[in-house]
Amino acid sequence: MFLLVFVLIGVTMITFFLSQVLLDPLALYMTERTREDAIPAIIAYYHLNDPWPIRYVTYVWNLLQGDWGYSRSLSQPVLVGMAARFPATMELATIAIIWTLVAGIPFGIISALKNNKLPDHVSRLVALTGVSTPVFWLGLILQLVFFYYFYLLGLPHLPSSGRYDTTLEIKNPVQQITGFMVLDTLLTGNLVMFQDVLAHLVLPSFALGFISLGVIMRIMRSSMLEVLRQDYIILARSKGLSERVVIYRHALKNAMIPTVTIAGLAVAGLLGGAPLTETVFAWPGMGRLAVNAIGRNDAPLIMGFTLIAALILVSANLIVDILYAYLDPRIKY
Amino acid sequence: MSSATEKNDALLQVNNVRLDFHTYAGEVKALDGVTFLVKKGEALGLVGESGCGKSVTALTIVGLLPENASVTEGEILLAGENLLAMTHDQIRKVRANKIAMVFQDPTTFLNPVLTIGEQLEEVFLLNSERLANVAAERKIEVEAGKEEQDTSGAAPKLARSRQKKVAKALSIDVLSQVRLADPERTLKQYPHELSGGMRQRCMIAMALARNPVLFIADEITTALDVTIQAQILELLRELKRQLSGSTLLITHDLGVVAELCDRVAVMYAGNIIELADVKELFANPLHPYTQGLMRAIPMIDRRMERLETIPGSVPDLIYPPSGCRFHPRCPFAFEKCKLEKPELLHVGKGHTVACHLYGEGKA
Repeated sequence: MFLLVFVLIGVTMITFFLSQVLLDPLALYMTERTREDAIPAIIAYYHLNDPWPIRYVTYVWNLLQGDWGYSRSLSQPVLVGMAARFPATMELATIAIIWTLVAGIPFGIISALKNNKLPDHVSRLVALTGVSTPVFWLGLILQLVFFYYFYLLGLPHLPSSGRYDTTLEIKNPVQQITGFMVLDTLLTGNLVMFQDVLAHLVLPSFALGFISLGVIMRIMRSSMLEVLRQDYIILARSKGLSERVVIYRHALKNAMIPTVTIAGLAVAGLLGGAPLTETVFAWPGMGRLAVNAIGRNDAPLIMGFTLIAALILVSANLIVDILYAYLDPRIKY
Repeated sequence: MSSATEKNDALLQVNNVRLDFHTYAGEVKALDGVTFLVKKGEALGLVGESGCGKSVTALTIVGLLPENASVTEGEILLAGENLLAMTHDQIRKVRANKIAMVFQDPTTFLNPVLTIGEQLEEVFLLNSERLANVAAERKIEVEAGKEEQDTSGAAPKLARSRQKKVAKALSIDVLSQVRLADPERTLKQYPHELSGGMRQRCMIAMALARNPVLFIADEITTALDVTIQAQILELLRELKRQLSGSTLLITHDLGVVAELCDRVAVMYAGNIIELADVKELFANPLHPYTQGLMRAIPMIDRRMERLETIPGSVPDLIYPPSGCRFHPRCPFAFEKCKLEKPELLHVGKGHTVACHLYGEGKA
């Protein structure tokens, strides 16, 4: 918990220094059409003549008050703009995490149990491909094959961009409850849109999760192999337990410990991949917002996104630490 | 003694077992025709230096060899049934009900993420019939309404919740049997919360839980410090009196053998080289290697400048010596020892030895 606060302070310092101290902060508030006589007013309004330590403290104080600055590119407060796009990113990332864990852990186990046999070679090849494929390239190839080629061949094809079909939504309006469209459509019983939303999630969540899939599969495989060589597995077998019990009761919990660490890091990896994936698939989330903000030199928005990303990363690590204590009784906090 | 009567009261017969390990460097001929038997109710000691094949013999009996090992010859009979010819599932049932093994290091052999209770109760849960009988005997009930009667199977079977309750009761029994002070508390503890001696007691309890006809103890005192060793040996002695099954005690400590065993088999480089009653072996060791071992025991009433050792070192089992595997280190070796492998010979009073010195004398 202490570390969490420390990391977040560090992140605000770095973003603040990069955008407000090393560069002329005035540039952030000007366009080519800004009149020269407006400059003193801008300086006065944003307290740009104050020494930077005072400006930093003011910035942090405002953050704590919920004032994350005003985004020029959105013409909205940063927090409002991000809150609107947060569910889209979370929905995409959640689906990606779920499918990578659901696929990665079992395939890692199978890979370990069929060590150096065909299933192992196949899953290792998939893992290696996953780790070494750039997200944006994979995204484009997926669109080309599953949208364009399937469309050309007259096959049922998957949508290539956006969260849902806007024309379909006119006839089947979705009521916003949680912001997660999968949940909202289910809760309101809007099955037409539910199918449409799921179809839109397939390609981007696959592209986003593919790297993590490789990482999780590999770590699950190697830690399972490691655990199966341990003495306590011999004892478990010597008790006459079935192989299924030996693996799922005695080996799995031990093998999950390293995997959980990597899964936590994978969450961070997903956030890193979000701007690329969201850009390729025109996904209206925070990642694309950040990319646009960089393009338009919208410093408060970039700082806001960085802070949110750091917050999610630190929380993921906190959850990992809590899971550790659950998995390994030798760890106590 | 005639060998026919010996076979009749045999529980376990290991006949001419050969075993190779496939390694990068070559075939390691780890067991070279191992032959011995364990009688009903007796404690047989299996002694020898590190790497002579004691533990491999034990792992072969329970079918837990590593993947690179293969038995090329021989049979292991438990009450007439060949364990080596069994399917995975059959040998698994033998491990669950008949042969229980306790290992050397209680720190690495207990699962660190499961409680002692979880690791002990699962042994009882394998045998649902026994659980049902115990439940009937002791009238262990579960809260009304929770119980589901299962009448489909021929064998009596209890509902899962009730099975667990019985298993817990039995676990507490077996933990008190190994003299743990607070069994209920131990059940809830993880291995890292216990001392080495307590862990070893728990591992012994897991073996006793199966009520085995054969109890194999593989160097179970080696990883413990001396005072704890004494306690564990005391426990074994006590259990030996109480239990009807046979024990195969693997050790390199002749003192342990002298205290606990009825008979001893001496192993050298994958062979049984001498087998006799404990008293007979200590009084009258015949094989030069056994004699060397006896001389290497420090005695408090015998003052020595240096402890005696057997000259030479353990042979390379990828290229084992021809003939008798001990001949390069044997002070009495002669030409025949290099050429011919000696057979186990009866030399009287249930004493057998594999050495040409005695074959010669008889012929």
